Amino acid sequence: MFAEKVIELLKESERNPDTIDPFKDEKIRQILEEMQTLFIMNMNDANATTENKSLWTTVQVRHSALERNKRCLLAYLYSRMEKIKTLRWEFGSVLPPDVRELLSDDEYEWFSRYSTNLASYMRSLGQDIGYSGIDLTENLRPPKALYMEVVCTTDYGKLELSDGDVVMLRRNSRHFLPAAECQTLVRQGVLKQIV
Amino acid sequence: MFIEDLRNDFYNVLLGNRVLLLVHYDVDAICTCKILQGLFKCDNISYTLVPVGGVAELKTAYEENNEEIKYVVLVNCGGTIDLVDILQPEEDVVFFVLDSHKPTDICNVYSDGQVRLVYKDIEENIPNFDDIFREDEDEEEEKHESGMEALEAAVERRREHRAWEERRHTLMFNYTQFSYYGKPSACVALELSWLVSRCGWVALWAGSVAAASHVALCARTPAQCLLDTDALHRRVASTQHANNDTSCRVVLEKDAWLPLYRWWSLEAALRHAPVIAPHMRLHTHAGAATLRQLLADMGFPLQQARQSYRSMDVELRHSVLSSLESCAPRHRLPVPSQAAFLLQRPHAPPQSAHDMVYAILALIEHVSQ
Repeated sequence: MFAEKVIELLKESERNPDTIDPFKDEKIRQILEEMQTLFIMNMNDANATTENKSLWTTVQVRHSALERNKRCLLAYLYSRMEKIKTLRWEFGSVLPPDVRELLSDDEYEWFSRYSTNLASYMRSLGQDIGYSGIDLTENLRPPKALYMEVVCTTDYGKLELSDGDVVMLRRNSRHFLPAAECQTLVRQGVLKQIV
Repeated sequence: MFIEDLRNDFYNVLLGNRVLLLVHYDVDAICTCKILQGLFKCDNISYTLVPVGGVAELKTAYEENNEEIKYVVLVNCGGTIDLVDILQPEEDVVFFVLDSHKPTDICNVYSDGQVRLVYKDIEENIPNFDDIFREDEDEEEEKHESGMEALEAAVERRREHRAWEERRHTLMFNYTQFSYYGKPSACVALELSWLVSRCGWVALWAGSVAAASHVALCARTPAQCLLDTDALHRRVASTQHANNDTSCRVVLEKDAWLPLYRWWSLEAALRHAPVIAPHMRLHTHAGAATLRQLLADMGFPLQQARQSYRSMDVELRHSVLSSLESCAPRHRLPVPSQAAFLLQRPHAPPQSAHDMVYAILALIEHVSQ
């Protein structure tokens, strides 16, 4: 059957739409081979039958199989590209090694170029109003509040905020700080959010 | 120096700055702090909150947190001590003091802008500036005049000075002789939240708990307490019209003056109520019998009175106040009812501000760690 392999490929990647699979170069090579043989057969038949029109239907069927293969392959690559795009937003510009292994070399190059593009775009944002860029990946959803109330669980010492203010973090002291500044400390367990 | 305009001179100054919030731990201060925190959250004013218990704690709390801080708000602390002298702040640090402890220290009152008192109590008889402070007269002045005239003038001056000093001493003695409580700070904070149009039920509830705390702890005379809550009554009344039953609201209702009776059994509440227990001499041997008699007069079976209020019969529960009121004159008790603030919540029993006061007090005073 024509185009069987490519459907298999698509079905496999469809099975887990949220995560990215390893790039299946072996399968893709087989599909390309199939396309190559179809093309050669078509070429031979087309050359042989310039006056005899009986083979034209065969040629047409092979040709549509070829086009289907091509289309499905493109769909596969496109869906992977979309997934890689979300990887950039989730992981940042440096991929963890286990995710890096899943990408092909070309895909990785695309990823790094996309990441450079995004970074330079983010740096250019808001320059006319005096900001030196905005990190768009910080809040993918609009945050409920820009500030949050936290209580300090350990004697951490001084914390310098991005606007130059210095906050003394002592055990059991309570603060109302910009959420962006505390997120990392909350994750480290130095601060605890009060709800 | 006193603040004239709560909104412009106090709140708008804080907008956009980091604030150090030093809060004493009493019920009133906690409620005030809740109201202020609500306001600060709405306006994204970042703050550092430190509870302080005494002058030493105030000092350490200020020293630890004074970096980069230009505005300090003191709630129920610091009003009665000379802040500038004790904390030794930088020139440009401003203290806003909201303290219900009186009398206010005279140096804070006549500070030129570094210490700003948020609320001016009309009950305080603050001595005039001229009576307290006086430039030390230049002794050198007119020294070149010689003879008897100069001597007489000097003697006269000294005598005047001594008289003034004596007068100052009496004034200061009368002023600082007694310490007492002023209007609850939460009422002032509530006024502020009303001015910036953010007076929701949370602020109202905090205000009413603070007002109830002054009643429950007898910090003020009953008449003064009533006057203090005047503004609060008006705010509560004005929110009554928004009649949606899906959210919490604060209501003012006539309620039995029995602390915590909604959480205890009726018998226990009666036994510990300040309006009942001492008058019926429940501490004596006959006390238990008189209490049983009161319950019998009220028509409450012992079995019902001894189980928790919430599982009492519904009819009995509703008749607590009326039966207590009808029995009170027979037992020569004072009026056992009062106007109380209740928090009505959907799908939950109402909560009394008085009960809340005792709950908070218990939490403050019980040291668990």
